[in-house]
Amino acid sequence: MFKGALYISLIISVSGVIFQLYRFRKDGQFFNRSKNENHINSFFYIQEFLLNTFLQTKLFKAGKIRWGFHFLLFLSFLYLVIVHALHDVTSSVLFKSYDPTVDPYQFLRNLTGLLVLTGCIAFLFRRRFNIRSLQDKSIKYKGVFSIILILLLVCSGFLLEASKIISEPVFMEMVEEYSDLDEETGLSDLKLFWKDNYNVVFTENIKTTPNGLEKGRLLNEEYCLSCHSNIKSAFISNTLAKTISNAGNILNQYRIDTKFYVIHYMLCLLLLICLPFSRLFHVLLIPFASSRQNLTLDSFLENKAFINIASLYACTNCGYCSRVCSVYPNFQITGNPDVLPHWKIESVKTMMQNPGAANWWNLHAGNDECTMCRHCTDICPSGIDLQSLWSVLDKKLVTMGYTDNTRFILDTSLKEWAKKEEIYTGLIPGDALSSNLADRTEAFENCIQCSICTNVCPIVDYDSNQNDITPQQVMNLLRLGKKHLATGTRMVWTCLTCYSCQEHCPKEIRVADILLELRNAGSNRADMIQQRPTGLINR
Amino acid sequence: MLFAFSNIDFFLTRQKFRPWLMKKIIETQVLIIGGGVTGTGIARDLSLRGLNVILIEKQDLNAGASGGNHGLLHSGARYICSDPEAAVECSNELNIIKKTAGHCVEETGGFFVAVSGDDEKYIADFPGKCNTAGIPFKKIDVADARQMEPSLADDMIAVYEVNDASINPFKLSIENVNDAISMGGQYFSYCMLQGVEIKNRKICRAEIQNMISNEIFYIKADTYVNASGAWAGRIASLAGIPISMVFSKGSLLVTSKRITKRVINRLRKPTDGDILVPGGVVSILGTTSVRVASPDNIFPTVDEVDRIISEGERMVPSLKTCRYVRAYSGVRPLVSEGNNDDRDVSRGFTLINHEKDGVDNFVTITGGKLSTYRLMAEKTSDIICRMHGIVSECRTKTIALPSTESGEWSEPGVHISESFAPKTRHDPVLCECEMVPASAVDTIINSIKNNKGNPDLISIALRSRVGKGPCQGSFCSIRILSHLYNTHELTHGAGINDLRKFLNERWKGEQSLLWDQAIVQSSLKEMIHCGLFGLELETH
Amino acid sequence: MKDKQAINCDLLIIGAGFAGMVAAARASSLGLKTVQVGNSSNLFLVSGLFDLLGVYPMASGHILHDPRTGFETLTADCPHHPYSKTGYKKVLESFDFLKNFLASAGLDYQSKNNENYFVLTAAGTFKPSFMVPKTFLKGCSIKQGPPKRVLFVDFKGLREFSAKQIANVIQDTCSIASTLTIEIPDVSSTLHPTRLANLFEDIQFLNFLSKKIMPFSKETDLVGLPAVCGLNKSLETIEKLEAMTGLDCFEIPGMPPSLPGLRLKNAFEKQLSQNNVIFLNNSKIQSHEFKNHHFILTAATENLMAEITTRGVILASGRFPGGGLHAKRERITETVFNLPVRQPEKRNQWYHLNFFNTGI
Repeated sequence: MFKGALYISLIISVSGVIFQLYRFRKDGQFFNRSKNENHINSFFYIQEFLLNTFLQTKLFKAGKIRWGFHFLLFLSFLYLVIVHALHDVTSSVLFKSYDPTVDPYQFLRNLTGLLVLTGCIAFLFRRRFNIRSLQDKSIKYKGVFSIILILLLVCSGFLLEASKIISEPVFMEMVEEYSDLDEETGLSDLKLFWKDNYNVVFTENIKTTPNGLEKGRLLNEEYCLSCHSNIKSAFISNTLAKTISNAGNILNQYRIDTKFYVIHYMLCLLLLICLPFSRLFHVLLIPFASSRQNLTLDSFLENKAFINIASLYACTNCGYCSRVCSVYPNFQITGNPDVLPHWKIESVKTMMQNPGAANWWNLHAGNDECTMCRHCTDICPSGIDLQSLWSVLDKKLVTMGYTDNTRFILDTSLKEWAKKEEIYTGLIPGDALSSNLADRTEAFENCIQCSICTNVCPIVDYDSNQNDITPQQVMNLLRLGKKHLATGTRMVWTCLTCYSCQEHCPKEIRVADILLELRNAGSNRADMIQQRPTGLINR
Repeated sequence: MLFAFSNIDFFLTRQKFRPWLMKKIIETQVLIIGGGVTGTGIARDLSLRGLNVILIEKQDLNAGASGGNHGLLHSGARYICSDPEAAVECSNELNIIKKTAGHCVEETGGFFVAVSGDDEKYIADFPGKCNTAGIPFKKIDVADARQMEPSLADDMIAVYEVNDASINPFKLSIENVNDAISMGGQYFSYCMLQGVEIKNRKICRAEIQNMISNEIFYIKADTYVNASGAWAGRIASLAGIPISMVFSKGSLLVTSKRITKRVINRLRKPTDGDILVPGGVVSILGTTSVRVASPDNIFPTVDEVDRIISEGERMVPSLKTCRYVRAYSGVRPLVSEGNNDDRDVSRGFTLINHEKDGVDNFVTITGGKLSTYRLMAEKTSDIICRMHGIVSECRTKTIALPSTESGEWSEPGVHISESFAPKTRHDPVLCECEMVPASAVDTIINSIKNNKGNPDLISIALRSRVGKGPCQGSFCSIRILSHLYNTHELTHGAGINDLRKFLNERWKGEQSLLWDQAIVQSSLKEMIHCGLFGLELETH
Repeated sequence: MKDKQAINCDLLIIGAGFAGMVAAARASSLGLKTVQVGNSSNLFLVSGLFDLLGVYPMASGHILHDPRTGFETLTADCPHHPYSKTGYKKVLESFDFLKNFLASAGLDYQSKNNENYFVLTAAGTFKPSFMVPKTFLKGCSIKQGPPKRVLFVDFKGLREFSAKQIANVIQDTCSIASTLTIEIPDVSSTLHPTRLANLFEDIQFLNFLSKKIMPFSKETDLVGLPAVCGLNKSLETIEKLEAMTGLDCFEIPGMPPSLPGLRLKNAFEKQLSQNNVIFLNNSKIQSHEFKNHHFILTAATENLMAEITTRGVILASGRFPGGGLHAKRERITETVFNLPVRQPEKRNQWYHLNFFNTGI
């Protein structure tokens, strides 16, 4: 029965992997305009698997403590999988002396189990308390399922072992199988010894005599010791066994060990089945992510781009990227989570799978804030090429009609922009009520038209063929009550905020501050004209 | 001399007169003297009725009171106590002008605002009198009023809303003239009436001097209209007819930025500094009433300016601190009836058919106000038509005033977005304050030349916003001068004299309000034009 | 919060215009530890000429060829005038000092010591001036020397400068006044002076320019250009152009922002910092007190605050444009120390009705 379940799970798991890879390919159509995808070089895959999945070098760079936890967890789990779970095909073959109940395997199993357990708890703790500021529940608890599964698996393992330790039936089965002892030949002595040293719980009351104990020890040496190391090395299970030993008789009566065995086995299979569908998959996907390829703006424009969608699923939502994100403060102000890379990547996934459900404007507004500083890409423990993803995403959004404001405004002629002014004037707060510089006459009316600001402006100098209105003329537009027109001028949008104008102004007009303010006002106006959400976004 | 050909030569060649036979007599049906809103209005009205007209003006359009006023289309509420009849006229005309000359009008709406300490009785009487005169009004809650016009004073006690509007009198005159010209009329600027010949109770011809070339020529018309406003007495005296006029100077201030959306009137008996009118991108505050001996060479004085501001700041406190770019004056032409306060003299107009004075084909129209210019033109035209024996309905009530390209540049800020849209052509901004590009200056130059005028800095400034911004011509004057030389409109040293005249004209409006930013600006102007260019020295 | 800095010095100069800069130059070269506050960008507004009594008496509008003659009359007329107190000799010494100071910063000026130059301006007028940049010099010979054949060059898009205007206005002064308008490719509409000055720094551009000028070389002695020939090394630029064309070239000063002014600003700033003058640019005096024979003043910029303890202060804050004086509707005040300002009682006496009135 177990075998059958195993094969079924294996089939499900493998087909799951195939299905996922197919789906990635399909989702990829969203971005990819090229049909001939470049497949990953297997040499690269192995290399990255070793470096990044196994050694987690990128995680090491990102954070030493977390790497420590993660690495031990990973290593321990790997040990458990290979040496313990697959012992039929691995350990038993490789190591002649292998037996789950002998040291060092018994000890190591407990140790690695403990490490995995610690790792899982650390993970849960971190998710719960440590990255609260970065995300809300829906992302915060992503990946928790896999962790809990592992947690349960390890726990069930320990419980299984503990229940086996105290189990009289198991003891009796072993005695029958590996010895010819019976009550006459000292079985009770062995029982006594096991009761004292291996914590087996017997229904009958066995009298403790020093003689019997000594005999039992000899019998143990004779029949058992080759396969059963000191139970103390199973330090977790043993402790657990001692705890439950009071109820040992009842548990033994119901053969609780076999129940745990089933649970443990089934959890294993569940884990196997879930591998391609849960966050566990990242283990296999990280190498895809780490070997970046074909994802450049140029290649995208030339229809040769290929986003390795698999790499997006290598994301573990660890939140490192958002912690180093240059525009994190923008998120604090606007409240738009799509500013943050680790959120954005989830939005991208939603967008690909279910375009109707994505909040396009939020995503666009968030992506707009990106300064292309590459911090996210540099720190990503999974090695995802986030930076290129954002660039391509930007292009993609533009092709879908979600242009950014700079482009929107520079593509709109001032005449059109001014025409729109008439329509939207009513929505802009009136002059005297505003605290904006651009609304306050005294902020710009000192202008004596000397045009020093214009003459020291590097943009006026550099961009003279395109530039429509100089800084001084922007001040004049404000005086003429053409604030909204001013917000659409190229000058305002190409200003470097070098502050030359402001520093040189003989009348101390805050020219650069005003330009900057106008750009923000223009951005809001563009949002409004394009009828997209502006300002604070409700989460 | 300075100019290659005089205006009249130019005209005569066009009219295929043969110079060697020339007596320099131009014939027409009606000669209108005075290029203010009334004169231009009559020119259009008569042209629409099919008469051939010539309009002469000793300076250029709106040189008198037509250019020296608020640019306010009264709802009439201001006159409900002093002159109920005029109030009703205003109210009616407002609706007609809004309909027929909408492009010259901004329907701002208006407030009548009383502040604490103002005459309670006047405030209490206001609604009743408005009702009597049929002027629509609405009481506004003081708090709401401040929401609607945040610049208003904190101590307002009563606010009424009326349907005042602002009008651009320059655009109005330019468009009226342009329309008259399009129907065969003619306009001669800088042509001054020197005398008339009267034979058989009729003026048979008028002697006219071109003020630029000093050339004398004659215009022979069937009828003559004296629409010279404050100068009406002087013109009438040329025909030997005495009209006793008094001149009341009113001064106004222009702020650098528009302060209110609406016209703000003080709710009290009309006196100094109690109207603030938005004029496109600026606000205009006025006025005063000072008796002067002559309508020539008037300018705002420091005392007037201070008085206007101290009154104005009661309604709108920011008027105390805001930047003013210019002050100007106009003279109200009032036909004397011996009153003491000139504001008590009716603002209604005076239309005199000089038949009673022994001249049968001569009419004088004077007095009145900008708001009723059309009515004045209509009544005058009615008489003229009667003289010509024509029965014709006035059509200015119904036919809309067309908008022309050359008139548009007198309007502030309207073209900004257009001129900057695609920057493919070579079109630098010559006036940065008001963003007037070279192409606009060219348009104006062409229209002046089409009207047989002489494109110089002053006439370009009259027809556009050039020189009207905060720098008051410090920078644009030189740029436009360069442009005029580059386009061969000027030769020799003429431009330097032009520049001097232009700067001095601007200075007339600046000298009374030199403090804060304005004195900084004018010091810079002095640094450039006197310090560097040495224009104050007579050696060039 | 602003950092507060304590500075001790011998002399504080308030103002960074002409007067402030020259005062700083003089004080620092005398070995005084000097601090300067103010906004030097006002120098963008000056023409770059140093005048000394071009007209006297004012009311006469009489232009002086030799300022010394006017100086004598002035001394007799107003013994309290700063000129009268300083004396002609001392004034000449100061001009020499300034000339040398600027020369050491790489900006060459010239004066004749007993005669005013007549500098051709962009309006087409001639302005008497005492010490002028060497790049202007050859233009002065138009008025003072024998009639010349002059080519005036302007640039399409440089709005404030018209070669045709100058040629028209001064055509009687020259034997031939011809004009040339240079169209610079890639300039669609407006050419700002600093942009043009930047172009002049490029040898390619000078080549381009000289090729345009060359066809005129046979009928031309002199080439007049707007005063935009290079940002700093203007004389070098002019000399290069002269070498390329074989013609004498000169600059014509015009409207602000003025490149000669910018050159002065750069020269002063460079040389003064070498002389260890501490220049707190864009700072303003916020408070002042006089204690124990010392002034203690607070100067502040947007992000810096300095407490300056000094033995002496030179007030060179200028008039209205420089912000040294401030006019309210009622009266004129001095802005730093609130010193009494002698002024007409009422505002209507501040100015004359005629802008060009020269009488006092």
